[in-house]
Amino acid sequence: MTFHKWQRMKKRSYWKKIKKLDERLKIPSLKSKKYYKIKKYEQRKSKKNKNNIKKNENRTIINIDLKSYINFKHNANDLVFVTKKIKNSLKDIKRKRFIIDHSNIKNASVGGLLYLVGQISKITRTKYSSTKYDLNYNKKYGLDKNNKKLKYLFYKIGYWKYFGISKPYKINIRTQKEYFLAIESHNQNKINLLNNIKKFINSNVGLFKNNYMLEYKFDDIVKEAMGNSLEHAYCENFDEIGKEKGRWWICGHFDKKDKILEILFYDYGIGIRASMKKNLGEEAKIALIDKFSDSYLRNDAELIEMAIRGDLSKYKNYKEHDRGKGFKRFQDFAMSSGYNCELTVISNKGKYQFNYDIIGDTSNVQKEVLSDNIDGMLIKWRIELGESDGRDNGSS
Amino acid sequence: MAETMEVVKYNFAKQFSKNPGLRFRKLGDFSGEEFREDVLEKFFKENKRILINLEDIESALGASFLSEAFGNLAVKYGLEKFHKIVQIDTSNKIGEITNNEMLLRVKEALERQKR
Repeated sequence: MTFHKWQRMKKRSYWKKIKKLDERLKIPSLKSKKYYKIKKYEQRKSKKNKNNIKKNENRTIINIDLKSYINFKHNANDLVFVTKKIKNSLKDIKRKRFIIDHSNIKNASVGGLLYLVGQISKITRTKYSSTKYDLNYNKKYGLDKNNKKLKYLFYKIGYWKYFGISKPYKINIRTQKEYFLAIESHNQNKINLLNNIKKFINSNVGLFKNNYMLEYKFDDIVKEAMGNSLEHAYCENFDEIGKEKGRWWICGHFDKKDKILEILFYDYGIGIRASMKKNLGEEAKIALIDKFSDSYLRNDAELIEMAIRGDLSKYKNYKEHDRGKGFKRFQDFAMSSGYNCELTVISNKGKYQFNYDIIGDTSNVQKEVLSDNIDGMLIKWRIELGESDGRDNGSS
Repeated sequence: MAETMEVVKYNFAKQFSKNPGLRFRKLGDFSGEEFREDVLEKFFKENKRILINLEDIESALGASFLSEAFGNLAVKYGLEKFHKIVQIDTSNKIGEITNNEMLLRVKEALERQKR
């Protein structure tokens, strides 16, 4: 308890005591200035509470129960469910009160949390006209108090801080095994954030040590991802409820025990399919349909693959032919990192995963069709640094 | 007699930005478009050579930046004139790698023009 709260409690009990005495004796006694000051304060507070109760009575409570898995690996459907529920509740939002129940969550990934922040920000933006708005943490709907690992992850990745909750609970774990680059967001090109990511990487691993070529490629893919969000992820007349044009998020994670570095990028824009249609114009039909079987419409995972292979720039209507190669560079980075690397791109109903194995110099691609659309696009690079964790990387 | 040109040393980090931006002006400050229009074009008009030193930059000139700033000029003025005017100082690693990337983007831009 803070000193201020303790003082306030003491004053209130003193005021209540005198008030009771007055009521019993039915003769007003002489009181100090302090008494009237407290009385005024208590009256104001009780009026405010009454108004709040009245206000809440007229409000519909929207309960968003987050499911067990907040990650795209084990169960993307739980995140699809959240997307749908939030989307459906954004109308008439001023009359609604939101409860986001975190108590059932058992497992969460950094990517899942980044996505969730984007989704919840749609509520704050619609309700309070701000993507970042201070929310309250209610223990009843908070994380399982015994799940220390989960509490640590949510706290360190900046999930709570993003919504103005600075101390939701006490963190007891003092681990040196995991490092986080807390969630950052912007709606413009913000190169400073790129430098923050590099600082985060350099403070944990020697990925770029004596290897400017790799640093160049890293700068390039992050700038490309930013540019992609600003230029392609949101169409000119973009006006979707709860969403802010150009908005993107970034975060990172380094697992020191397993020597795994993850960098993630997310936007809640129009997604791969609409973006292709926008860029290809009249040729979209040709691109979206598989030429080997006329009636077969390519699924979203195949569209991501097309973008990554750089197949888009061959279309003559594609805005300038040397463009549309940004996605290809995402994969090039994964192959040239000098480590086992995974690139995952999820958009609409498509999930594309590229794995590169440095020892065998082999790669494989996994494509998956999700049960429903996710909002926008999530890009993740996962680098397995192995025993060396890059610090003794002497390549140039 | 061989034509002699004035060479202007250009410190990119000090005179433009330590953190170059994206492709177009509309996407933010210090874009490739801004560098082409406000810096490089002048050298072509005044027929002066620019030697760009990149040593002190904090983040790289990405492929989109290079394509927009350099690729478009190679298309507009031709490769010969482009090489006469634009040069990146390759005496350091940053300059060397950026120069190689820039040449790739110029090549792509010229191929685009042929199509």
